[in-house]
Amino acid sequence: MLDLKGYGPALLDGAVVTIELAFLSLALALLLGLVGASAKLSGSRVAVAIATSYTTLIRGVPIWL
Amino acid sequence: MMLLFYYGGQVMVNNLSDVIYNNYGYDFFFQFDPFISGVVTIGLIFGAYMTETFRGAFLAVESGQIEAARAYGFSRFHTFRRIILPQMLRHALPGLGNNWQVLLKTTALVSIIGLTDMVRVAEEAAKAERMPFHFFIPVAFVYLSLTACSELFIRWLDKRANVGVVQGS
Repeated sequence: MLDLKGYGPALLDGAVVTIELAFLSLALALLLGLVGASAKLSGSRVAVAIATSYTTLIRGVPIWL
Repeated sequence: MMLLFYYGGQVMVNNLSDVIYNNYGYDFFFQFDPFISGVVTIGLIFGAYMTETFRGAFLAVESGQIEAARAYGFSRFHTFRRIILPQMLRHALPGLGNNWQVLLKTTALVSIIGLTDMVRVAEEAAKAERMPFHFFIPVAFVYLSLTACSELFIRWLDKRANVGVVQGS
């Protein structure tokens, strides 16, 4: 059987942190995505410029920098 | 982006508090929490990807649908809730599911800013016990089962969102 050498509970706590992190980030990402998409399609020059620079900057830089 | 936000953000807040203290005599201190910075960073990054997904889905909804809703006197919110959202969801779901899986796996990166997530614990255990595979393979299976479950959930959502759509064979 799988013997985790006493690290089992810590790993489980870590898994909970991972899941919480994933769902909270998802909520934030969905919100930002809807706002960003509306901004991009709003036709207002300022909103389009802000949303475009946001997506261009974020998508063009590696995540772990 | 993650290191930039976490370390750069702390430096920025410290400098800002210095400026405020020197000019206004008001002292404040704010410590960046790794969990919150992780959520904000990943949320910001995937917000950008979601923006593109949603933009594509918005554009896929025929403009006539929106005009008709406006003509019937729907408010802006009502138009979005009842007309745009059900129709765009169908187009957004494949990209959204994709982004979600990448997001879930990106959470493994937060261990670099010192958050004790699953990967961090496994890393420490692997170093202490000198058994990397022994700890990383179970972690890999946890990620795999999470993504497999979400795959099933997204398939179910996709089925629901596509109700009434006639598909060509």
